[in-house]
Amino acid sequence: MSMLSIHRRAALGLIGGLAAACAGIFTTLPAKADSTVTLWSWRTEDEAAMRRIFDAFEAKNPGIKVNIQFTPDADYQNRLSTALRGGRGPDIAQLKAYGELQPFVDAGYLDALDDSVPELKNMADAALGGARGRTDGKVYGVPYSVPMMGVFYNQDIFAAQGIEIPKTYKDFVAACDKLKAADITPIATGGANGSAWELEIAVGVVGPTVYGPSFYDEMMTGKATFEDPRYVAALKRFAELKPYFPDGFAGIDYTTATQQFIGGKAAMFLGGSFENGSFKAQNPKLKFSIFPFPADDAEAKLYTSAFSDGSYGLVSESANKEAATKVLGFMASAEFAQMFADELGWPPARTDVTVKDPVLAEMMEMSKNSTPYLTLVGFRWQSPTASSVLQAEIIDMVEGNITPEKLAADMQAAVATWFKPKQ
Amino acid sequence: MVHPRRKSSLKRTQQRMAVLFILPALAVYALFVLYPLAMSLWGSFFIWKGLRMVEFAGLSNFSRLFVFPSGARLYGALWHNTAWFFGIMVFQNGIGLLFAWLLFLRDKGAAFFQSVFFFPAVLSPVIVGALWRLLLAPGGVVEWALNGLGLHQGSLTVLGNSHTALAMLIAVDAWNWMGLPVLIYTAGLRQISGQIFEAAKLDGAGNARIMLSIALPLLMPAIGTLTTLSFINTFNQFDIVYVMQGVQGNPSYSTDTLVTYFYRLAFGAEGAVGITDIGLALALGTMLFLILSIGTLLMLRFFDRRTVQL
Repeated sequence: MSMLSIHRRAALGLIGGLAAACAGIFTTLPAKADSTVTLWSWRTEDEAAMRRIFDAFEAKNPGIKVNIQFTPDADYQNRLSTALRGGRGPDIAQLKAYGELQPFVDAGYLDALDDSVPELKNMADAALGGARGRTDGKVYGVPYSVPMMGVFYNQDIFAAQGIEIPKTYKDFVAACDKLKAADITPIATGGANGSAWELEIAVGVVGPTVYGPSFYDEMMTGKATFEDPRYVAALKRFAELKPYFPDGFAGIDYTTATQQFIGGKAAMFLGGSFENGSFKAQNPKLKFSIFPFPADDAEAKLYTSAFSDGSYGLVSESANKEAATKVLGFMASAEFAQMFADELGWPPARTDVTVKDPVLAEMMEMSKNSTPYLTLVGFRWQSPTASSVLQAEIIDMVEGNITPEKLAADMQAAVATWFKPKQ
Repeated sequence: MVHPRRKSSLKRTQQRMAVLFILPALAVYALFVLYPLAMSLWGSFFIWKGLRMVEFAGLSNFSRLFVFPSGARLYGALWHNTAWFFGIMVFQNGIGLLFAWLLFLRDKGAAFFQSVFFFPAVLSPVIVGALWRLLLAPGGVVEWALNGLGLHQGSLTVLGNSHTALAMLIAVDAWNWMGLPVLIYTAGLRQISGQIFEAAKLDGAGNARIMLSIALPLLMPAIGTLTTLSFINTFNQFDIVYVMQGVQGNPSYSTDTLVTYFYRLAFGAEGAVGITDIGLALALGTMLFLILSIGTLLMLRFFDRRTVQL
């Protein structure tokens, strides 16, 4: 406890008198205009859509104004933690999920919402899991989206080449061969220049069809590890697809890969549901949809990796909790989920919505058979994360410089330093 | 008796005044340099949970730094920084010296070429990194040129290859700052009295001989300055790696440096923003500070002893 106070004092002293003065100004502001709720988000791309959603909310709730402030993703986490430490954070903060949420919960910066936001009971556990505190199991944020992953495909190219959505892995490879013969890049993917998170997602697309839906639970209870033959087989399958990746795969980054798909040079893209909106925005003429990566057996139920993207939480030091809780109640409602799906094309956190966008409808259908996105949901809790190893070594694995066994062993060795299986 | 005492009291007043005048600058220095430095040293002795200092841990962060899983990252980064330093010494400062000597021998157009060499140094390393990332990408200009010349076939993936990526980054850094040694060495060469070169020529020394036996020893202060600066800059290398390979130092940590490793520990990486280990980060920061200060002091002493006075 004494260490905590030393640290607090230190943090304050570091920022200095200037920050103290600012803190004074900021804490008095909400008291004056008690109906303005400040909300921080990193989704700069969604600014216009979020504004429209909250305009609708403000029209129905005359006493409350929502002031949304955006900070780019790369700076967001730092800005939020600095602000919360200095006691001048927002009323509502967008929060990352799972392990990245925990420092804020542990530091006591957030209020649990289990009782104050009853609508949370209408959300699936896949959505709420990302917003739970690890030690107390309480929900610290209102989730907004449960992204999932799959194979985006160009419908015009598939039609022109006479390719059907593949039912088995064998069909998938045959389709890739056909596309390659027609001089079309079968699968656009790349993780160069620090964008290897996209390749981690691609493994999330391929993985569940190889290691199956029960693998996550086996990993969590310690019955399986990353060195399990099933996980190694998933990595192997991804590496096997290399001939169908763009020329110069090792040097292709995420942006280049998306451009190849959006520009119609590549037929498929292994990606997350959040690409839906940006693909459409960048090329409104592109006709595309999504399918789950096929398994060896045509009869197999196809599982897709899903995770909670994040949530919106109530800051403990907010001077405006009553209004902020009302806003959070709205964000947990079916009405918000509907607007969110319509405006952004992302799978919302609630399933009781009517989906108009055909690609989103396909995704929601796929989400019915989902398994947690293993490396994020299960193993992105402490450093070194499984993701950090996977992202670092995956290009070398696809290029054949290291074996899938070695990558799997490195991932296991890294998480074994902190991961404790549930009993 | 009276006279010296008065003088000394005057001196004392002057000294007191001097302290008074330094005080504002000292206060700013203390607040923004000494205090954070002391705080990070202090923090490196604690276990951190997320953003909080939890309990005193003695030297455990430091010992954790050298063992699995941190050890491999630390030694890897240390090796990359060292390779980077020697790479810069050879390809930037070595070739820079050669260029400076050639410019010195041929006075015509020297100023023009000096500006040409110096031009990349006015660009931010972030811009330089982004530029070379595009040039070296598959389907980029470098690939086109190499394939056209028949020196290479197919896609160029030097940045995505863990065997070549570090060398590429060092080359880009050397390209960026090549103008600096050219500038400093030409200035150094011009300061050497012309009589010395004339005397050497009369004694029958050729250009190479003059360079090695006359110019080089007399350039020792310039070499010392550049070596020290290069040492500090390469061990603080961050921006080019960050822009060209991401904060993980991809692929397979082959371009990881001490500062990118520090960044990941303190702020988290792309795939896992916010998963931090601040205690370990501060221990690494303290170690880096020690490496830099001790290294710099040793270098300055080394070059000071080798400075030739004529």
